[in-house]
Amino acid sequence: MYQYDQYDQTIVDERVAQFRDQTHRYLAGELGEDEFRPLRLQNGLYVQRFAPMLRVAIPYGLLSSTQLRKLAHIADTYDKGYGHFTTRQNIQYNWPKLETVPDILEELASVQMHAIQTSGNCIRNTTSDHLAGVAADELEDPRPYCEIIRQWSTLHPEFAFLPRKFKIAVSAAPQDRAATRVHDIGLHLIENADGERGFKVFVGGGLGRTPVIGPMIREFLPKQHLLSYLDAILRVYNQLGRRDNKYKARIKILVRETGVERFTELVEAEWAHLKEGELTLPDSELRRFEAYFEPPAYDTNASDSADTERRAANDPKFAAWLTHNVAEHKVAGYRAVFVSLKAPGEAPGDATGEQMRCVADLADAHSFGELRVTHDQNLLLADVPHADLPAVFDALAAQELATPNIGSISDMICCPGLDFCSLANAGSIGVANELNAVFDDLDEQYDLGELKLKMSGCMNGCGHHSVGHIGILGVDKKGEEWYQLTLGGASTQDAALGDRLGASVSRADVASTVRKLVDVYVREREGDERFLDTYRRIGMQPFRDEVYT
Amino acid sequence: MTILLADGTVLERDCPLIEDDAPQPDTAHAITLARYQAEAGGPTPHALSVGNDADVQTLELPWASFKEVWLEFPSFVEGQAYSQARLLRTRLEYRGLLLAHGDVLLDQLFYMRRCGFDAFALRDDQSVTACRAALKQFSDAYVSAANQNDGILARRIA
Repeated sequence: MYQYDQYDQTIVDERVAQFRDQTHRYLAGELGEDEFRPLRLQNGLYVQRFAPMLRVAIPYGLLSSTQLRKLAHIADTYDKGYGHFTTRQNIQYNWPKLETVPDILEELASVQMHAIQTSGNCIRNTTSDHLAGVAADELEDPRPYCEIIRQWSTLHPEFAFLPRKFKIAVSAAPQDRAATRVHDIGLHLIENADGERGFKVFVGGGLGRTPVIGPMIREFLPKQHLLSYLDAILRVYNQLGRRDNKYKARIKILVRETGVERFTELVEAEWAHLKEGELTLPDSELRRFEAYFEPPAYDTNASDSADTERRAANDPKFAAWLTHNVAEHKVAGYRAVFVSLKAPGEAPGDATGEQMRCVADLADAHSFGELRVTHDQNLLLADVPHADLPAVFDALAAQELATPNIGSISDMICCPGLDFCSLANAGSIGVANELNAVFDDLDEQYDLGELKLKMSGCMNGCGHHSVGHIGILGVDKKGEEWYQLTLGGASTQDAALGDRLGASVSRADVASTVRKLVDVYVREREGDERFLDTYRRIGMQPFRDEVYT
Repeated sequence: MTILLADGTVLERDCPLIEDDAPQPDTAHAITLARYQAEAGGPTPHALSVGNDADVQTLELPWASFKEVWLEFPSFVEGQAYSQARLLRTRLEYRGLLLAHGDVLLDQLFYMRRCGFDAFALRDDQSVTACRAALKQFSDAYVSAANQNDGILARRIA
């Protein structure tokens, strides 16, 4: 993985000193609330319902075991012993004290981590495919480009006060596992007809109250021009994006109001000035970044283990886990292991300090000391020898981290909701628990297959409800919690926004309504259709009939 | 008006921005872009104040003839002038004084300086001493300052 050089370390250290000074001035009354807000936000610090919330960047979701142990230490020392992994591959702490945040940032800096630009109207953490580097369908590893973008976007002097937040995601596989089309910029690493590699560029996707699937503005951008092209997009946005209404300030609104064609012309015109400038990336520099992400020293003689197969044959729990939580790997004899943070009764994405240390130890013992955070709020040990799977399973199961539900209805994405967030209308975590109670039979979950259930506690859409196969959105009606359901959303390469089912349902009816939707699917499905496939084939009406009549 | 310069020196001077309907004094002052355009052919003002909604690239002004250009931050969260400054410095080859005015606060100075501003009309409540230090808040940066080619990304390649 990437290792900071002296430049990277200096910037992160100086950022800590800067924030320590800002916090000191705020607490001393020298800095007003309004002025401190954007400064703390650019360091990931929100003031939430009960306490500040600190969001720490996990660039493109990649962590070393040392870094994860530090996150565990922070959870135990400065918070209530747990952290919440997010859909953008970050971690959030919900209970830190404001005056200790500079110390937390200093702890992070000691392991090459930070909270820079994890909130605020600036360029946020760049996200990517959690299977980067190990997926068989990938063209090449996208993470070197993510790191290049991380550096370019960090403290970029021109783009620290944008109209609104700005998110970039990079994918290098035909199967889009990074939800790139619902990002402000989505980059697809591709090869053109001449065998050259570069990026297909999508701009203006997003979730929130106006969800949009981002349109393509450039078919092929040669790799060396990545940063100058990003500079051009951001410069157009910084100058023309709306600042009069925060709900119309995202780049998706600018693209829509300007028109994709005209917006593209503006970007291309700006880029024409920038393209051979100092941000051009020579091959030597690309190779230097790539070298940090070289594959680990795999055992070239590794093959699947008969002992592991034998355990699977004799232990149904292990077999279920092997089937559902373990993914193929491009190297023979290895697997990628999902660590489920979706145990029934637990808030989706939460992990305790003890669980984090367990995963860090497993990473050291079985996965070259590294792990990833996934966009679905789970963790991933990407390089586990097949022979080690029983040991990994036993250790994870002992920590409630082996619920065999990856990709199933109970592997839901869910925001923190009313329990923590000051924006939320709905108790997402409580609803998640009710859904888990209705769908508590794992065999039924397996029968239902891949079913992406995503829930947000308000229309800001942190739980990605708009792109759930089943989406659930909490809305407030005269002080009561109601829930709007959508069907048919997807964040993958066939990205689509969900369609509204109909009138919203009361809190008490959410789980039973989802049950009815699933019943329609089971009744109507053909062959090995997923819920999404059936919905796309038969349309909304049968689902409406079941729920409302 | 207290003006902090990029080299840390402080300038106390009287150089007001004149309202569009007020007469222009004989002493140094700034006028708005609207007035400058309305009074085409008139004398070149000491300083030109450009609003943050102006597209500096298409204005086709004789930038080199101005001693000062002022760019505006109506509120510090409105960041259009960072791009205007960078364009003036890197593309329009403006070499005169580039002054940030309006809601100009300590924690924006480092970014402003790297975008090409070299003068800062600080909001009244800002500590000059602290602001001077803030100009050097970071000893390094990934992206180069305007026309400096000094960023980490560029230096690693060189």
